[in-house]
Amino acid sequence: MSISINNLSFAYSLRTVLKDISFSAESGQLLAVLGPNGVGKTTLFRCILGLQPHYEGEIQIDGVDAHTLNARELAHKIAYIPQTHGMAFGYSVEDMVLMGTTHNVSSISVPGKKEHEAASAALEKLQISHLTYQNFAKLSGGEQQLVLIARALAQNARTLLMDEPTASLDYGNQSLVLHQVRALADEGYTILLSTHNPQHALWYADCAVALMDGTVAAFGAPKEVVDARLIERLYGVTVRMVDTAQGPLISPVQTVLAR
Amino acid sequence: MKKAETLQRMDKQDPMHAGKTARLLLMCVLFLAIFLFSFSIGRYGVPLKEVVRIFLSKIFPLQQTWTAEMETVVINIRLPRIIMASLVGCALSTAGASYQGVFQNPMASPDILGASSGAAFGAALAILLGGSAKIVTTAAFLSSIVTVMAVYFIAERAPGQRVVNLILSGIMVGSLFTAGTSYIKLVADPSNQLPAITYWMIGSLSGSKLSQVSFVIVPMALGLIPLLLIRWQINILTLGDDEACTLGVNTGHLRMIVIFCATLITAASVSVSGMIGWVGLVIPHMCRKLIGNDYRYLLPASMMMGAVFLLVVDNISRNLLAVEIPIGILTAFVGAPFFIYLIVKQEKTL
Repeated sequence: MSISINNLSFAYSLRTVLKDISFSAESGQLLAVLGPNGVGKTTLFRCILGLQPHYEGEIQIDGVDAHTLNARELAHKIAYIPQTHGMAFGYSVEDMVLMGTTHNVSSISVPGKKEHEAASAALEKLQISHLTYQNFAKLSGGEQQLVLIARALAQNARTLLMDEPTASLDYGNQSLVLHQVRALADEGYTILLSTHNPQHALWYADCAVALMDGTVAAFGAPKEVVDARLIERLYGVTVRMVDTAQGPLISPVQTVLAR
Repeated sequence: MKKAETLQRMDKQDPMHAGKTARLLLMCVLFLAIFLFSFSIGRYGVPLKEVVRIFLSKIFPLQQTWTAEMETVVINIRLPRIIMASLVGCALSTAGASYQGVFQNPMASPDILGASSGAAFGAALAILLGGSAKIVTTAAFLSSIVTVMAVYFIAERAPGQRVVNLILSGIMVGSLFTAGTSYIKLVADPSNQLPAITYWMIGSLSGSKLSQVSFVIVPMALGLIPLLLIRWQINILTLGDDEACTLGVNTGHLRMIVIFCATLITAASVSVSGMIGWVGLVIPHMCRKLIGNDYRYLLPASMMMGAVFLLVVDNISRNLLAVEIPIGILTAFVGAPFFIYLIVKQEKTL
């Protein structure tokens, strides 16, 4: 239940995207991946998920080289939670969650009783059982994100990868989803979460890795590495940190403000 | 306590699945009813009771209450045609539903990868060279398979999005074969070959023979059974390659298998019945409204409703006018307005 990335490099034909990336996360840790747009966060996730197999370096999942695992074996270990997205066909919430159990079902069979139980247990855990028979496509963004998390739980993998789970959510749904994610980490899941909001790293993450120009700009406990200097370096925004009871709060030092 | 909760949950869960299973059974009964009914109607009417007795007499010794003509009509004329209509309807509808899953697009139909234009080219070429009916069928079947294989391998070699590549190369290769067919029509003998090609391309089930049924039954079984077995995996494929892969599915293999099976049944259908359009688009669409998008139910529903649809249309084709209207024309007349009705009708939630 750990993941460790050692000297990972990746290039799209001639353009180098990731250079010599190393970091790791243990069971029970929520690791936030920070970095500006286009820095390679998505590419990094694609490498870990086996979607971009031609990388250099090593990705170890539970001490096993990810290169040696096929899609089905990898699905046992890592679950991917994509951003909420449009779909060609509307499935019921139950069907969506059930799809997480696919790696346990033979290719020429359909999910059975055990898989249905795993699906409804996952929905219950996230307290969204009432959505079971609704059309996934008609849910709100926050509910859809919770269903996708439920699917990852039904998948029964202990490492979860979340690609900007809060990107298209309103303020209330962001904290709803992140609270659930934090609770899962406390339960022992290893969670890698990319986010555009460094404040989320400070509030919810156990460690943070910041990517800049394809390399690791900082890696460590959020309170130590996410500071005004890092944020200015990553995003080009001048901020100051305000100490509050809930930890440091990022406050932009803005020259143009509403009057 | 925990067990009671689980039981309660299973109870709650049952209605949806029970409802869908019931709808599948209903479709099955509908199919059997129309299948039997189709034997009794036609220019030479046979009472339904006698139809049943004729079939039963093949197994049990029954007193003959029907005329010899009735038996000839039912067994020799209508039986091959009715079986063929069921098989072709089932195959085209299933192929349409499967392609829609592969292309994550409800507008995909069985000819999206050029199966029909390839078959038409093969048939036209065989007619031009003076081949017998058997050779025309075989040429159409093989040419259809080769066309889709060409499309598949071109798409595999091209960089970028697999699904988009498949659609593009399907359009390209398809139009290439259509051009070839047009050229054959140009040089064909206008007194007998050209009408034969044109008639073949309209699509018809008249003149179906038991030998044709036995020709298509093997490829159809080889395509339909695997598709039915992997129907759950087709659901995963509709999520897109990346997500499907992270759920543990080998998307490349799965897509190849689905395309292969769907092509096999399309090619078999087209080779014996010509180009019967609309079934593969309209019927899966209707089934999505009736039973939802879950392929566990959608695929068997498409199979049965496809057969039902083509049986009904073929009955109209046989009985509406004194001169038989080719079914390929009728499916468009019936299918297109029905499709408009389906897309205009308010969408149900599931």
